[in-house]
Amino acid sequence: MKKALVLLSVLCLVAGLAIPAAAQQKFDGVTLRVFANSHDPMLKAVKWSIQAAKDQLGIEVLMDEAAYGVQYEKATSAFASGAGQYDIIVAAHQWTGGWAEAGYLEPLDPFIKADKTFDPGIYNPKAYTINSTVNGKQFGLPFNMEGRLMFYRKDIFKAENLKVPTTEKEWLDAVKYFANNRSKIQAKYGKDFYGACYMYGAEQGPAYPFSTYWGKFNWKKFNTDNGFWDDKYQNIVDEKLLAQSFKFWQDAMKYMPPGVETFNLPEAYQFFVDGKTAMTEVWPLTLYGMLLDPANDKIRKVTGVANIGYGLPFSGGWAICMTSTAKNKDAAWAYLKMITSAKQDFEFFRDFGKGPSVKATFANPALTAKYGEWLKNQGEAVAAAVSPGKIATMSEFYGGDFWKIADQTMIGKISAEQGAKQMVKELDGILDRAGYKQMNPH
Amino acid sequence: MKEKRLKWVLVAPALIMIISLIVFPLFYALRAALYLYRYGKPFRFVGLQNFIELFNNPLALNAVLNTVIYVIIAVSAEMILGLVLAMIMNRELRGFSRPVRAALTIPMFIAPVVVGIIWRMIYNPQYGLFDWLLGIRNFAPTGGNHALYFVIIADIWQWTPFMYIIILASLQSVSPELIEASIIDGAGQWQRTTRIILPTISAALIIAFTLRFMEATKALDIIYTLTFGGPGTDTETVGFMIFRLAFNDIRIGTATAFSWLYTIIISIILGFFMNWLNRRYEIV
Repeated sequence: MKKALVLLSVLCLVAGLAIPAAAQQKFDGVTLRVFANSHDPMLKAVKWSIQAAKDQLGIEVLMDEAAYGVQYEKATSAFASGAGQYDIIVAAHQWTGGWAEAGYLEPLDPFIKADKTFDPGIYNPKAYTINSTVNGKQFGLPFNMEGRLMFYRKDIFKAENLKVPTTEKEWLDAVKYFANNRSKIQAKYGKDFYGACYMYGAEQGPAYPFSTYWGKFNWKKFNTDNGFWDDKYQNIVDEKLLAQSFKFWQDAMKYMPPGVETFNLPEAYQFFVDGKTAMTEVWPLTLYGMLLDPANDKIRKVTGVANIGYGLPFSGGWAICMTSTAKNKDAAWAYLKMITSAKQDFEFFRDFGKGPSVKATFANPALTAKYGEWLKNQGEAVAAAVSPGKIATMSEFYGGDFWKIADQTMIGKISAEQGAKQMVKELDGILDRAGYKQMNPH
Repeated sequence: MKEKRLKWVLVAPALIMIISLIVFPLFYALRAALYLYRYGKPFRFVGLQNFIELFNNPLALNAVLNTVIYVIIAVSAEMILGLVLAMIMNRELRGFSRPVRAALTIPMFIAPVVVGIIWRMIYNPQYGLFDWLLGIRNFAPTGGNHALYFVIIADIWQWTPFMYIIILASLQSVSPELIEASIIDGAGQWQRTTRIILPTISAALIIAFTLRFMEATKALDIIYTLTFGGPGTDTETVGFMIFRLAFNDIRIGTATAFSWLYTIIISIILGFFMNWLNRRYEIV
């Protein structure tokens, strides 16, 4: 018994000496409060960072999360209260302008300038600027980036001898082909089959006419990056062109499935995954994520991906930002760098399906086998994507009266001309309320 | 003098509560309606601009019209169905009365948000009830020009039990002697219903109607989950639009201006109604 106790004590001593003390980290004892979005790939990335930040930087991460519809309200209330509730926030690009102007976000330019190990050149330039550049200042680093893509059924296009559309006319011809041969098509592919299923619902629908508008907009004429206002924040919308774009989609509605005016992302995703449509345009990461499910193997093998032929893709971008109330800004910067590094960008995409922002990820050979042409197209879509902008009143643009009028117009409740006129007028108000007086109000 | 002071002391707690919880927020909201609010920036006084914007906003008029249709159809239908159900359930149904009476109230206890989600699934044109059970292919109840009426059906489903439960309770208080006496006097079913039962329970009917009317004018949650005001703005009610203006658009000034206008309109309608009630039944 005595011998055993002595032996045990010796063993403990040896083990204690053999295990080195935990390495001292630069930010030991620092706690960062991170407000994540509950969109699964981004949430998984932030969850991953809890352990990684502890291991790599010594930072304790406390995470809060909220869904898209709730996060903006919750964060804005927290910011406005001045309680300093968060140090880091994952933010949709359209929110960053208002928050930056209100002084809720910390400009990162001094950190970028001082940090010789940080290279902004690793990011896709569009992802870097769309997500987090406000009035020339950087308020975050790109965290999740998507450009809309068209998904189509390769087998059906081949069987029907159709060309994958690369222009507005070709797209409409393809849509019309399916509609005009409905009985033949439905006899072949199922009674619920429709050639095209696009979203006409209030939340996502109006993005299509804006894509069409951007595709035709004369970008050389104005100093603008969204076709809605110029660098002086003056309303420059080409009303006639906007009306034409909406008319195009109003006309296309008759070729869509019944009830399409109520379709949003879930309906469009499901239609495609269920093999009920030959083409759709949606946010690519979610749909491709669904297709990667082994249950959808059959559809994935016959799915083709193409850039949208009728305009420039709508951008869906997220940034990760440092708040102006962050208590330890150096730690916050180190965390931002860690979670947006080229290595993490690749791993987050590979493991969680989070939208890549780093140029190298799009060309990574380890991903091409799994993602094939999708990755190439996504890289192109991100490079071409357009964002409606970042001003303090962006919340009025997305889902506000402007968006409601756009939706009414898209589904033909009001004429394209009338809708375009009302949207231009509404945009005057949005810019004016953001503090940009319109010199020539409409 | 002492007695006068005592009155004030006794009234003070209630007065403080009313002022701090009702009067102050109302006038604070009125103040907000006169300002342009942008978070992180100083309030900017804009006078009546928020009200003027509303009068010039076709979406606001659309929301008012939708609300009028919503309230009239939903509350009337709930009233009639509730009355019919209560009259049926007021009889003995061979031991079934209790479970059936209880089951009929279930929709009322479900959160309106959940009701919206349930009906959203029922109305799905590809996978919903119309396609699956009724065999009506590709019909989108919440599409086309009829979406508002299908939202109203969901509201009726949820709130008819409320009418039913109030009416049933008051039906059970109708004196059986009175009914027996009318039968002896030769009154038929129709006469008993219209001449005895309905006048006896009229106060309860009016209270149930008033409560539902006030609730229906604020319809928001069911619309939020069922249609989100769409397609376009076809199902956008005043309650929904105020919510959208305040919490999506962050146009606090416009939202409070709309709230104030709406409160005044509803108060006037209810004022007339209550006045009429008071004169007619002396119950309020």
